[in-house]
Amino acid sequence: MNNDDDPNTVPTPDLATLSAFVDDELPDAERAGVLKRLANDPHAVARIAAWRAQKYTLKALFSAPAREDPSFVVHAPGPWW
Amino acid sequence: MKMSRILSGVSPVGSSGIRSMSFEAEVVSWLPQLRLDASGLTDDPAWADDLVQDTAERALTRCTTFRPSSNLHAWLLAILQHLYIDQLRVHRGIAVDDEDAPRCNLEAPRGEFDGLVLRDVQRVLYRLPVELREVLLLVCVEELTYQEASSALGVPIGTVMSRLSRAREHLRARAHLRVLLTEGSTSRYSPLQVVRNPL
Repeated sequence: MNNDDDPNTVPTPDLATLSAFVDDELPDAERAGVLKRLANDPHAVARIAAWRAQKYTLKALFSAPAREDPSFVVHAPGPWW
Repeated sequence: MKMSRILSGVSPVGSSGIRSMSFEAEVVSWLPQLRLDASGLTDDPAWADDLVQDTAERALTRCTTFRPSSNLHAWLLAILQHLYIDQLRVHRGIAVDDEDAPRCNLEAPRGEFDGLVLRDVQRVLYRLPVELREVLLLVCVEELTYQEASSALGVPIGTVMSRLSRAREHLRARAHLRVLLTEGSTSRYSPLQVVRNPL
């Protein structure tokens, strides 16, 4: 029996896999599998959309302009005196 | 106290040798980025400055342990995070989940994002367990690869993946999150996703 073309037989990707999909960290074959599954899994699609929105928001949150007076002094190793 | 902090600019001193000098310069070039990293972790500008300073010092004393072919930023982050965890344990055991953490009360940055959305995300972010928050920030903000995050944190890639997905679910379940669509120079708000309740 070969149901490879039936999307219902594609296992729901686990959360870690979906998460890696968002970060484009999946090998091609796995990525293709996720895409196939997404066609019939609105919950997974919603989850991915939410995670992408998160990623975008987090970047915005931490891309605030640097303070005006960033200054650091780097002490190289040496005798304390 | 680090009295010398008041000096402006960056002054690597006391080094010798060409490799050492160029290494220092490279470390120095990452300091502004590390400051952002540290701010994301600590939610406290003064503490972030201390962390960056300590990280730079430790990096220079341990420069021989750095493999030249590897990612310097990831290596520096690993140092920074170890220091952070150490300091957290020693001095600030409960600060991480403190509702009064400074960032919770700050006005959200102005800009193209809805301030309320940012504050909401911040509020939730700083209640995430630190091991979830750090991986989320490394991947989403610093854009480290999973491999680099794995090296920076000293955990297997599988752990990076599972922590990341847990962090995302945590945030998704608790933060109102909308994104706006930006087109050219004009922007408009769009309730693309309103995340209120988990599916």
